[in-house]
Amino acid sequence: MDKKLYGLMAEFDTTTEVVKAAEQVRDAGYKKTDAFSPFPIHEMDEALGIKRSILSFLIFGGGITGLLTGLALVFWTHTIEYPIMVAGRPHFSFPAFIPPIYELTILFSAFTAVFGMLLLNGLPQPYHPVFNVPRFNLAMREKFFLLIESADEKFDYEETKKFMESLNPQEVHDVEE
Amino acid sequence: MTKDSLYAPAEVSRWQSLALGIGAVFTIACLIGGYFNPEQGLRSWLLGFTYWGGISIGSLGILILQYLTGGAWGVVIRRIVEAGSRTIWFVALLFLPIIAGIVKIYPWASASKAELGHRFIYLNPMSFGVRAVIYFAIWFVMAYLLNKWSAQQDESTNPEEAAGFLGKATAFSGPTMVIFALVVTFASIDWVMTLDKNWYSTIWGLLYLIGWALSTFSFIIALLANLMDKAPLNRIIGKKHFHDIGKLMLALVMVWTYFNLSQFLIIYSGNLPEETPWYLNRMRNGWQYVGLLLIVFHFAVPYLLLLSRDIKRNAKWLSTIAIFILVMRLIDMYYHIGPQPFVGQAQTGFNPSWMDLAAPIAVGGLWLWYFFNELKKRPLIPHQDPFVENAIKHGQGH
Amino acid sequence: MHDLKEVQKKIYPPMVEGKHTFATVSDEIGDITLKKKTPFHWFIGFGIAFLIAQALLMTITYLLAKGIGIWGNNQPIGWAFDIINFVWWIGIGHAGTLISAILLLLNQKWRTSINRFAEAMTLFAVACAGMFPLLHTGRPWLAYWMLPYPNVMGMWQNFRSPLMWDVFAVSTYATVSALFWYVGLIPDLATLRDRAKNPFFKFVYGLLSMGWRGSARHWHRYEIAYLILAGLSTPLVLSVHSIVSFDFSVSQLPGWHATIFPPYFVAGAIFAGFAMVLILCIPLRHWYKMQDFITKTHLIYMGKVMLATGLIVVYGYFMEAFFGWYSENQYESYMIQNRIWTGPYWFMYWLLIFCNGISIQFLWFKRFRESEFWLFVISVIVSVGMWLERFVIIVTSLHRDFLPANWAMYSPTMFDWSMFLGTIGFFFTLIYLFVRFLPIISIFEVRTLLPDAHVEDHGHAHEHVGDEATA
Repeated sequence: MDKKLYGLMAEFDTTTEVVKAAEQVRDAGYKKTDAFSPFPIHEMDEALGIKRSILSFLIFGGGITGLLTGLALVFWTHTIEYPIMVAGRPHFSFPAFIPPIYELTILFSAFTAVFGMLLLNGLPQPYHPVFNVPRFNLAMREKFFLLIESADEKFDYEETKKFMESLNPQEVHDVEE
Repeated sequence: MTKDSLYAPAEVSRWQSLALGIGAVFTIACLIGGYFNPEQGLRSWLLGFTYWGGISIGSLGILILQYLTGGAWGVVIRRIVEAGSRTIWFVALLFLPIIAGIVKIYPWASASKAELGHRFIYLNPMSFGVRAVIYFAIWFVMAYLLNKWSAQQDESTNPEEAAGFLGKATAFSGPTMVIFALVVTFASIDWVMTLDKNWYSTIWGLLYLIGWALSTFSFIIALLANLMDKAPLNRIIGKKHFHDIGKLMLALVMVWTYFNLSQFLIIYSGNLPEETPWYLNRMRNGWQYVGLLLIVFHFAVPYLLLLSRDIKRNAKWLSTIAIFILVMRLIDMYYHIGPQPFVGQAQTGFNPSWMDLAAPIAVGGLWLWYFFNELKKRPLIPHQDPFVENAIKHGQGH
Repeated sequence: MHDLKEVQKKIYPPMVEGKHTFATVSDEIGDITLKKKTPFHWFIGFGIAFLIAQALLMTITYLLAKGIGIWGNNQPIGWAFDIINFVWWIGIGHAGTLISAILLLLNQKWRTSINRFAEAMTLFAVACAGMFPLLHTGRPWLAYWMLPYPNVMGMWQNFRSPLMWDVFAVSTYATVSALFWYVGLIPDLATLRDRAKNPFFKFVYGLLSMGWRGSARHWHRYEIAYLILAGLSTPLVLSVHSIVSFDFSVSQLPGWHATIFPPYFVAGAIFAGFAMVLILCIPLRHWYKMQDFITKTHLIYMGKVMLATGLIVVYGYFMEAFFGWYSENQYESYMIQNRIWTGPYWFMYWLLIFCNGISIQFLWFKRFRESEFWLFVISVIVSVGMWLERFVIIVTSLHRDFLPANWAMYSPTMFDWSMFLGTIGFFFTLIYLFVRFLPIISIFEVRTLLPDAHVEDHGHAHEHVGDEATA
């Protein structure tokens, strides 16, 4: 092998097979693993031992930031920088300020949701070793893949390959870096 | 599933006697209080009636709604809302004191023709009474038919037959929902909005449709949480059911806020002399703190808590929030009724009476007594419904 | 047990018809953009739409040269076609995101086949809507003055004004809808990237999909983000159309100042939006043979939603009329009388009642709900009706204001019409381009509807039939 090995990847045909295999991989003690499927599989989170992401808390934080930004904007504008009487209402007429504050809250939360998701996922990522496997172009079409990275502590080429073959896959691919 | 094991547990009978006891004691107290201060007594009774009657009418509405939307939550709560809807005629009895005290409650009842103008044909005791009879009659027929088909479904022997009754109820529910919404609109206008004979708001009916639905969902959650550790519901109700109804509660809390904010913002911005007095009465003399209380505890706190997925899945937590919302619903009703000046008075201060608490307890005791009586009559789950197995399994899912 | 399944299936038919696997789903939807020859009718449709869109360009050019005096609005009818069309388009634009988001939250599986182009429709409709107020400012090149930024004039916006709320609401809405749509597209763009043969398109789809590889860890965060976006979009949509309704209702004009406006406008928006979705998807499913994915059941459900929202709108008309009478207020009473029978625009009102109130009553009957032809016809009528609704609200309320000396009539000029029709052409041009270059149905979500997508024997086995029931 002239190229460095990134990991081993097993290919499966059905949802059930890949989830069962993932459970065995988890039980065998592999940590640096991943699964690839053409649609989200809820059972996979548990099977691979994926912890709940902090994304929802980030989004909540984004929302609070938006709320405070909106509040500061209308407060500062109408009471400090440019206090002007309109329609006989007080300078800080809160009910009338609810709509812009609300919209900014939503805007900031939505930005956090999208960019937070992309950032945590490490996207955009123009290059990734899994794409070196020719069969991987079926990953977003119909096939399921299970990956164990060579960086995993338990990884040993021969043994891991034997273990993966015991999971009853269609095929086990070498993933080159 | 065998039918016999599906009836309400023995505790319900105990709750029933308790409700009757409390209801009777507080009713007597209200009668005594009302004898000395009939204006206050009747108004407090109206508060109790609007609150608990709203749960009964809301049950009917949710019964209709769940046939239209489908879903597991509808199957598992169907028998509870059916029992609620069967109390309609009892609610009509509770309405009698209001009919009797119409002149003491509503300013228009003693107003002259000249004062009311062409509205006179709408705002007079006779047409008020006739309309009330029509409202209750319509609700009664709706509740009667839906309950009849549901009972027949229990007797059915095969899925086709059971689906037939489900189909019947679903087909009936479409047009019925339209009529129901209109009747609730006019009932809420008649019973509460006309406490102020000049003020009006076009969103009023929607406020009550949504408010009563929220009361009912909260009531259901509180009841389910108390029934789920006992047979038969202990093997039927799952955390996902709570999650689903919790989501609906969250949505309704948001919609309640949305409707109230819309009404307030439009009247606030318009600043018209014929509209603002209603809010002015509610924004001074101490009432502003009640309004603030509603914003914080009817909206902000339950909203933030219900955002959490874990809270919605925890029966204890969710039912605590539900009871909390039920209390706030009463305060919301009180905010509509309490600050209104009494007949013949121009202004009212912040004057809560002990009867404002006693009457809702009295009405609640009597209503709950009858409600539990109805709840005991049928199995707690529509066991022949074609989707009952799916609905139960759904609850156990993740 | 077997006949129970049959009974359930009859009540809730499966959402994907025919025998499909993950591969056939991916190929059938993906190939519309990738492989199949562009059909001839596409060129015809696109050509017509593109031609009509030129009317918009020419009108805008002339408008910029001459000013908004070329339009028919003048005192007291200061708002007319520009705002009617703005509200009409933005109403249509609300349905897409709302359909997609609210049905996702309610776990309604039938959203999957319609959400993608409903969202696309939203974006294009918002683009059309945005043009009107922008051009109505008269100097659209100074539109940035509406944004709060420190400026040499030392002036700041009035955040109490509903028009300022509009700026925040509509721009937030356009941004969030675009994000929601794009996030939904990422996995499908990856599918197209992996299948594209043409190196240019492979590169472009690769760029847009940002290296998406379907990793379980990515899916996990993706689903959280998508669900929360839906949770944010739903109240956003409500707020945006409510704020549009505040443009009218916070004023004091009879016919505008009504507390029911926000919910009634929102219901109207969903109503108009579903009508437009039906108008688009009935031909699409035939042209691209998508009947397996956009089934009869989908159309029936959309028909039902259209009926329900239409009834809420009618409830709004009824409440307005009732309270106009009940108010015992001479201005309110006069407004309602003038609108319904004594005024010069009474026929517009009754046309509106026919379009939005009467025509939808046919949807109570199975025969009409199940007929594509009738659904299409009713949808067109409803779209016209919703335009008339805004005409009635805006023009008939303005043309008789408090001062009888001000009373006037309104008639649109040629440029009002050419601009309105031009936006319709522009909208369909964009729709045609979208259909050609992007997957019109969310491929990855349709995959999850297939029976194979469920994990079997896994403690909590899923029942496919009746899933909709338990949603």
